[in-house]
Amino acid sequence: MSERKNIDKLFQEGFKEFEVEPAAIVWQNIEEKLKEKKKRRVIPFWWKFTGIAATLLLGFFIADGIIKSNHKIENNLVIQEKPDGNSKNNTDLNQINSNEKVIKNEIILTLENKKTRKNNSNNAIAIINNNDNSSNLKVNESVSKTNKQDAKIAFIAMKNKRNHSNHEKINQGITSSSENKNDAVTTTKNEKNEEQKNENFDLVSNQKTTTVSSEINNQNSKAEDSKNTNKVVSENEPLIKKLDSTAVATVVPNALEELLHEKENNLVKKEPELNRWQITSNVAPIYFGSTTNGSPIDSTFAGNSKEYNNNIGFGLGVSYALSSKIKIRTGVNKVSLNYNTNDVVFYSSLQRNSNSLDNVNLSAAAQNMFIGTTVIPSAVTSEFIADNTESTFEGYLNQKMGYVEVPLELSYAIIDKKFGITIIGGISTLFLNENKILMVSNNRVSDIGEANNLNKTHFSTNIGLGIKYNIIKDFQVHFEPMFKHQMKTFSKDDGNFKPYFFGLYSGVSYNF
Amino acid sequence: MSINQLILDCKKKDIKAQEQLFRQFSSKLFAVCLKYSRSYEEAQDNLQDGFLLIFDKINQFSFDGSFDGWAKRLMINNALQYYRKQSFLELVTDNIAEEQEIEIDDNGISLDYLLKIIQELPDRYRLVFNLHTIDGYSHKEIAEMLQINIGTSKSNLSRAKLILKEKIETQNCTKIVPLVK
Repeated sequence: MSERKNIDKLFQEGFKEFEVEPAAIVWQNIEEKLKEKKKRRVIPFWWKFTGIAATLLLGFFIADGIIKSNHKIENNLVIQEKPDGNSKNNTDLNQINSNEKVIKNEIILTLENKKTRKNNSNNAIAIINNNDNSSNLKVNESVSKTNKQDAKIAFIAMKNKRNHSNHEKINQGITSSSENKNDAVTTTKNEKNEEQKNENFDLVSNQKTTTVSSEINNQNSKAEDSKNTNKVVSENEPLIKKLDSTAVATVVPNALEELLHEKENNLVKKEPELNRWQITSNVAPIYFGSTTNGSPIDSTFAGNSKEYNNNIGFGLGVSYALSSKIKIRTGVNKVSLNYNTNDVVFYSSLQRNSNSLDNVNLSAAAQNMFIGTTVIPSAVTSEFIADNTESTFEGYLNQKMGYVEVPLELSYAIIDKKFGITIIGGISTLFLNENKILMVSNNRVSDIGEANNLNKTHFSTNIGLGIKYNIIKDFQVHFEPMFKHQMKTFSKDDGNFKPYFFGLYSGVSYNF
Repeated sequence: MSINQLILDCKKKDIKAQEQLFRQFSSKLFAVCLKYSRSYEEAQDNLQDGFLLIFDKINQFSFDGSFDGWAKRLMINNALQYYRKQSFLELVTDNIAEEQEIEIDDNGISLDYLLKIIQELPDRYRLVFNLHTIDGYSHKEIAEMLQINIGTSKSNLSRAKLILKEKIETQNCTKIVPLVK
């Protein structure tokens, strides 16, 4: 028989002992995810830094608290005032001597918070720690006297947020570590709550003291109060939420708290898988130069002006990642360097030239050639020019030096995201493969021989900056301005010529 | 093994303990998911996510209440989050006389059918009805949990009940019709 029954009761009774066995697949999925999670716990490197920073900051607070607690503070006040009846604002100004007390107080406040919530009242809490009693307390009092207390507190908080946004996370960590670990604080609301507390904490660091703490409790009888329906109030509303460990974190979970848990659980931390090898192709304009104005060809050309020519270098490289940040790299580059020695005069004589150049092995064609400078003409030069004006040519000497460069460099990544910046330093070994000196005059070019003072191998010290950008997964483009200072380029008399070159290397890399 | 020991082992991320905990509580919590979800499949998803959440947050369980209740609340919150973020469509809040007594004929309606019509309710109605009528949360609590007004919560509940009543009555009619013939 049917009976009249309240719909509530029907459902309540129906579902009282309602239990359903889930399919086996559910546990299998969970197990899979749990295992996966255990394996793939990777802590981003910056968490570690956050942790270190938090520890330092905590240390600072404690040390500061100890130092400050030695000072007696005269203004021990507890002020309770009830401003307008409408808004039922309630202001407590409590003084706290040490930082530890501040933390305790926060916990108390949280408890109070729970209570007030049960009384169906909105409760906004802000803690402001001041050093300067006179000025800052005034601010607080004046704030509490107005109806728009919430707004101003929020404003202060926001101001602090702007000033100390960097500290926000760190402070969160401090608070969470000072609170009971099992207290379970992870609702969005609670985070907001914490944030606001911590913003006030920031005031402490701002004024480098924790001498006075004022707490302001706002009790608004109704959220629907017309004056309270502005945005600022809605920002304060989250403060009323109680601590509830079952609340699902809808926003970011506290990174430091998780880190703490992870440490407690002694979970295995693994570095991310690296594609350790990388091959690189390079092409670079090379700017050659000398820090001094000597001449390695002949001392007579030391005073002549030099013109350094730009060349193109190219090469292939391979690098191996020692860690996520440090790479060792080598490769093969083709570099050719050349420069002109201006204001050179030369002529051909029938007899073999007795006035050969210091560091040049003259070619057969140039055996009878006289080469001198017009800058500081020697007696011989002047004489020949005077005698042979028609057969004398003016022009310049072009010295070419080609090398195969094998660099050995370390690079350290400062930024390693899609976009990255690295510092590069190392040495190169340069093997001579081109050695030529040309005489150029009125578009006539003649090979006069090769330098005999160039080392077959020499070295350079390299320093540079690398900029890279990941195009797709394993491919990246890079741009590396590198300065290479050459050492032991010349075997003997370098004529006070100290060469260097500067290359703007750019190319594509592939990781594997 | 006592439940407390089991929880402690779960805190150490012991997979065996986690499995045992799952076996012990899954039926009850799956029932919760079934009520709060739109379908059996979604309930399964919610159960899975909910348990992952439980294992993740079990460190925060401090033994000051029953684990049952804690786990259930977590499961509910998980489901709420799921459907709260899915409700793009704001339901129209209209003023229905609140808390009206709705009575229906109980003809031994099956639990399956009751579950089915709960699952068929629009998301918000279903959540409010479950929270209030079956799990005993107050309108104020519901308003906070779902981030809605108390008024909205009340009107959603009345709506939900009316829909359920209609469905039960049509069910009764279809049952009765063959008997008359």
